[in-house]
Amino acid sequence: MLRTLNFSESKTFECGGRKFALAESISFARFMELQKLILEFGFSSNFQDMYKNLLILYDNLNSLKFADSAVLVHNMMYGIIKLDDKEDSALKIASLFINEEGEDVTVYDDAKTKDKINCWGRELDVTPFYSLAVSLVPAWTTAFKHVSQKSSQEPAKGS
Amino acid sequence: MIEEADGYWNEYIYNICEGDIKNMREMKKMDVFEFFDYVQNKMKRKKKNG
Repeated sequence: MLRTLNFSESKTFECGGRKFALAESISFARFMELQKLILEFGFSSNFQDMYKNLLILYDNLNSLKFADSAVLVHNMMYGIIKLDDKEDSALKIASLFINEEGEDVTVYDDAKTKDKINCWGRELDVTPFYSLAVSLVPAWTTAFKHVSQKSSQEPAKGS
Repeated sequence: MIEEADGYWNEYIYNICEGDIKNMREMKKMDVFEFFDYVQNKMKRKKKNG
């Protein structure tokens, strides 16, 4: 029987004799990884999402927004490939914020991510991790838009 | 797009650190909010100093 965690009640948990804690923020190295995972997670979507994207694509093409259309089609193609991996993306997003005791939180380590996910998979229900990712993605997407706008207003080049 | 994300940020950090690899590694280890505060302060200083 799998245990079900509640991250709103406790930010720490044990699994396989190992201690884990949910962090509120992440290092920049992990933020870089998060951006890629958000794309995977966001675009590995269901058919309803695909229909919505097709409507946007239709409007873009009617407005001759070819670059926007190309980006959208690219993401939809990627999303279809990744359709089976949605759960995997969610767990990876959660793993960026959930650290094992003694883990180096300043870096992103793919092997460590897989190790943590394997550990959780043996004892824990996946649903809270999925819910955590669902709650993290909109907040961090907004944060990313905010910082991207700032960085585009103040270009780094030559600083 | 996904593949481009790393390239974008690596170039961004490269420019901020003026190619100093050690500094680039340290910047990536910063908390993300600390990182953007650092970048903003550096830009403000740059503007102030002309």
